[in-house]
Amino acid sequence: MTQQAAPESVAEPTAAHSSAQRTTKWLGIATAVAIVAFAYASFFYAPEDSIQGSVQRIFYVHVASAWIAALAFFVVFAGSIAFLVSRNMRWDAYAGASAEVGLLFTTVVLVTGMLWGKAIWGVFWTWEPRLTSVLVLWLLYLAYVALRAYVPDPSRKARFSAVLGIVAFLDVPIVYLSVKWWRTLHPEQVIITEQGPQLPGMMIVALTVGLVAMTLVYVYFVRLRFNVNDLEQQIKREVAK
Amino acid sequence: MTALASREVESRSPSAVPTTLVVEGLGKEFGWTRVLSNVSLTIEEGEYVALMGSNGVGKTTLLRMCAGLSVPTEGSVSIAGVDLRRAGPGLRRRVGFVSHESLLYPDLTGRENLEFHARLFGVTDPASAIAALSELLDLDGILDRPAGVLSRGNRQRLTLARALLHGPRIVLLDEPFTGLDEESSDRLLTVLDALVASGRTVVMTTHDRSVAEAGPRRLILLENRTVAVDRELPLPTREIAPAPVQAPAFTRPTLTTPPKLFRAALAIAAKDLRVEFRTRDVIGSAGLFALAVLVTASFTMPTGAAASAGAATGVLWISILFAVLLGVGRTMARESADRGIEGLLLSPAPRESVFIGKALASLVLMAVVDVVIIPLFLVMMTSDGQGSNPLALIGTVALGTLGLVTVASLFSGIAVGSRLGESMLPILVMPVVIPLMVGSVELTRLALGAGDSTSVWQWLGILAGFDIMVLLAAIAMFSYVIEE
Repeated sequence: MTQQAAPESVAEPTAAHSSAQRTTKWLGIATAVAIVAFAYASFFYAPEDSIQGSVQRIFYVHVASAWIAALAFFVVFAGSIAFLVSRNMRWDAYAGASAEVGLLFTTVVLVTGMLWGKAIWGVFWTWEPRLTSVLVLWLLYLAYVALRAYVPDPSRKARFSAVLGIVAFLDVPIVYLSVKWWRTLHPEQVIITEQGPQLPGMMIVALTVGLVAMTLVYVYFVRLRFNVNDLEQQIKREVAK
Repeated sequence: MTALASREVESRSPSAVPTTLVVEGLGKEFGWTRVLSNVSLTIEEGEYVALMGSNGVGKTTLLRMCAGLSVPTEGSVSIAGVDLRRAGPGLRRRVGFVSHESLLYPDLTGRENLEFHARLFGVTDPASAIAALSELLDLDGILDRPAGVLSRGNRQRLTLARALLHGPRIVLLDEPFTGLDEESSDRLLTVLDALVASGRTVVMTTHDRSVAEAGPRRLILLENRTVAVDRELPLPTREIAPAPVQAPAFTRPTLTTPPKLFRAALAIAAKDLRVEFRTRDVIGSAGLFALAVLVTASFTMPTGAAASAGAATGVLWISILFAVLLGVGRTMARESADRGIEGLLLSPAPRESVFIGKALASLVLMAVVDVVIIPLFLVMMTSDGQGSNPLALIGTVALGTLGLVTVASLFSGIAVGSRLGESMLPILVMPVVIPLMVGSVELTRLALGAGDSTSVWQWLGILAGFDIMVLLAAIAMFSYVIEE
């Protein structure tokens, strides 16, 4: 059953609202600092790759964005289950915000992957398994976001998108397996293997900074989107009165 | 009340526990609009209640929540002490609901509609129950005609028969007199009197005061989203009905255990197939569509042996996918357009059976399309068939079609509830079925004797894994799609 809090006035923010705004502001500052640190780490601190040269530096944004794409998708899945169990609309709002931010990061993964592919393989696109899997993930995100746009009733939208969010998440491992069995041009995993990390230490440090920075960007963007959703809700309630 | 206690109440005979309808703190929001707030009332067994209020005040919403068709935003509705959200199938048999829409299938005859609902409700002898209602409601002459061609008044009588077929203790009627002529109105009032005389509760919405005063003994007036007036009414003035009336006998039909999951699913599938047999619109459109894709694509393909190992199998699966999208989308749109799905939700049939039944019927229809498409594909787009394995081909087509139909059936419920309607279905289905399409294409190539046969188990695993995953997910979650 949907249990929503009474709408707050837009003009008179509550103490909790003010506190949330302060948290968002500090989160934004921390995110900005982390992004600057990530830029420094990936462009100046990390050594140049002896084979690929400077173009290899795209790796840090590419991998960190891929991590966020996966994290965002998991949050959509978890939020969808939490909504169906509790019927609390906040879970739906988190899932929806996570999907939009996840779509953004998946787009970054695709674009950086294509740029990197052009430099290394000589083509922007190849139907290589991991790239194809990310493309399918991007399509799933797109379908999810489109569905939310085309269902006006909030409770119906929450139910429908929760069902799609769960099915799509369960589908991803099967997508990955199905495309993995095609011949691959993609580099083998080099970060963590059975023999331990295969990257030089400074590259691992740069990547770690990237993962932290991108995670902060994700959390900040989701929070902003969630707040916008909250305001949207309040305004629509006022208009409907 | 615990779930165990609820089941105990539901399992007792209707007369053992009074069928009191209790509404507590009920509220409902649609989108950003609040329709009802803090509605509380108790309706005892045998009461005859008129629910009044101006247009849009929430009468229909309140009635739908009492019927279990709509989930409250807050508060609860309980019948015989059992909260409707925790109610099992037994409790649904205590309620009969007459909606604005007939909830009948227009392509089935009146009798077929009633027989279908009798089967879902576990009526022991549907023929006798229908005969008794026919006498009560004067259904002679309309029972064997398609529901879609009946006049408003005749359809309303059939709708009432559907709602009374299982002998409910509470009868909820939403504006039942709308569109009825004087004679039909008189007859309906007489029937409602008979229901109350036999101890049943009758609650009807109306905006016509003369109707409210013609029978009901209690008036509930809704204003500003809540109950404004709740008072007894004087004895009926009978301005629009002849008084006194000779109340017809109303006997309760014998009920057996309502059908369990698979029997209910089979009944729903049989109904869908019967409708399709009458209209042939799914087979016709989906089959022709698949054929058109195949033929059109064949002009873009290389011919001969190379084609079977190349993109021809992809074309085959694209044509099957399009057929499934069109066919399943049409089936669900047809169910939703007539609000037939609400008739299913009112029945004691498990919610999961609705999905299984509809998917099963779609699977049969798509199998017919496959039977037409596959031989044409073999003749037009492959070589002489040497080295191919017919059994493997059949198995692949069966597994692939099952997965496609399952995903499309689940998402078709979502698509028809979106602003885009059936157009939304491909957007939802296509990204999800990519692994199924890849696996089906690869296995079809192997079945045609091309490709590396050592990979057959991998692709079979993909197909089977996908089918199992989507089947379990769809069965578990379809009820979230169809609830309101």
